[in-house]
Amino acid sequence: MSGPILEALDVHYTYPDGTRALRGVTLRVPEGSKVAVLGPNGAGKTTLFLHLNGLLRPRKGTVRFAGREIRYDRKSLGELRRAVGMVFQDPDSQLFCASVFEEVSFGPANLGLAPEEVRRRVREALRATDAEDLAERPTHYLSYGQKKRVCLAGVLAMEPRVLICDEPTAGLDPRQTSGLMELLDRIACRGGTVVIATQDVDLACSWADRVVVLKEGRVLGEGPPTEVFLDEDLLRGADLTVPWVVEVHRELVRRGLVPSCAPVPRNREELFDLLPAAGATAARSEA
Amino acid sequence: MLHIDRYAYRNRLYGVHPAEKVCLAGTALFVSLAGAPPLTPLLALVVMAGATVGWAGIPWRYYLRLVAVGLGFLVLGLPAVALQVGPAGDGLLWGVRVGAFFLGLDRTGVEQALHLVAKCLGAVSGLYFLALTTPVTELLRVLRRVGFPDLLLELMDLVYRYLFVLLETAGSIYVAQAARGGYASWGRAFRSLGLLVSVLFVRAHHRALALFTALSARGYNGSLEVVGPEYLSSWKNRLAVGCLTVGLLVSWVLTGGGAHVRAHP
Repeated sequence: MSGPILEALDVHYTYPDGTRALRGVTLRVPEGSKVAVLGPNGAGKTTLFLHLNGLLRPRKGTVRFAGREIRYDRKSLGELRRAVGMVFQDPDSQLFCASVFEEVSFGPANLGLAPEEVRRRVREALRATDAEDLAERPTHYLSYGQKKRVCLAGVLAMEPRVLICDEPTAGLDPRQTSGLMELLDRIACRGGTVVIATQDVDLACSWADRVVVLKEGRVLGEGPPTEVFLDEDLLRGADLTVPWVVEVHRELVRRGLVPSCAPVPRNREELFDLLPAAGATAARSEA
Repeated sequence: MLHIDRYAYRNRLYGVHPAEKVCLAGTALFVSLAGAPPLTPLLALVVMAGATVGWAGIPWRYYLRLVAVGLGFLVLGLPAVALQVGPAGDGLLWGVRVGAFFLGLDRTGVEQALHLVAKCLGAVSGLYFLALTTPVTELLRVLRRVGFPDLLLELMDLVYRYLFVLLETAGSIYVAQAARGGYASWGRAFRSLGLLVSVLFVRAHHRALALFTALSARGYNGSLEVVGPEYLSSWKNRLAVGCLTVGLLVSWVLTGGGAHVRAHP
């Protein structure tokens, strides 16, 4: 991780109908990090994301990319959107083309690449999202999960430095969800930066290395998941629940089964790693 | 309509280069309309029906139903062509007297009607072949290749894509309304349908806005530029398409080409 690649500084935004969606949001996304933006419905997650690739312009405050304040002329926006890819929540509002292959080719074609390069990128993006077998299918006969994968492929084909996904797992079954999160992990492993919006605290806890809690257009708290999810007041204030793994860990500590100095586990595996010691003690005392 | 679309993606000719299919269907259309009826159009009908059912593997029952739909419209229009009204009853194959006039069928009328049926069936068989074997997306690619205006192509693509979204939305609204008794009586059904249509308009508008945002996020700058996959043209298919096309054209020439068109301007 290095300096922030994307920053929102004191961003305010009011929709034309008077809804004050953002009231001074400050967000830093370090390069190569996995950031989860958490918050209830209407917290301003989507509005914030729309600012990060220049689709909305803040009424007050600034957005910076790679240390430079973004500008809103056609050329600068084109460059920004090449670097910051955005996957929307509703796949039907993103998929405009009846052919999956052509749909995915739209982004790279807009970059002015040669057709062969566009085709190479399309095939690579479809492979990365396990959607190769969908290339010849019409968009309207895909299932919801397949549509989501095609949307992601359409953005990955632009090879962005930052990938922003609005509620990527909403509407997916558990297997699809874990598959998608693995894919986002792979992207981050290759040095990419991934930002997601979610309402799933368990998912955010196990996947992200930085969590931002948003409510009513303000940032209530941010930090590594092991800090944010221990702050009960913060979670309650944002109408969020405590991740089950943190809750179980707390209960284990309370009952003395796990030493209180042990690091807070972020997922099932880390929790299980804490357990054998306690199990062994119990077995020994029984013997 | 939706069945046709499904078959277009699931038939044995799916991988065949769309330009080859357009070429064959276009020839069938041409010889049906310009060839000497009824022989040439009927030949086109046989060839195209054979290609659609035998080669592409479209179930013949479904194909017959589609042909019957076309035939239905045709039958409705036939009386106007076949029936003659005149002051004298002689020369009619069959006729009835209506006041001072005779209404009936004569040889030319019947011939014209038969020719019309043959021409329509031949032409329709060409179009059915194209519709049942070639997805709209591939047709658009062919049109793009031959220099069709981009704006029209983009509109066609968007209309085709969002037709399905609209149908899906309308379907789910309908189910939601029906589940709450929205179609329990005629009166309620009319009211519910009115609401459905107005809600659809609003949704369509919202979707258009969302689409614009999503397209902008991927660098939309006024033109929906896309790149299609490359086709692997097979010699076998080219040969088959070529033989059928040439066969149709030869039969057209042998039966007098466009001579009869000039004979009856």
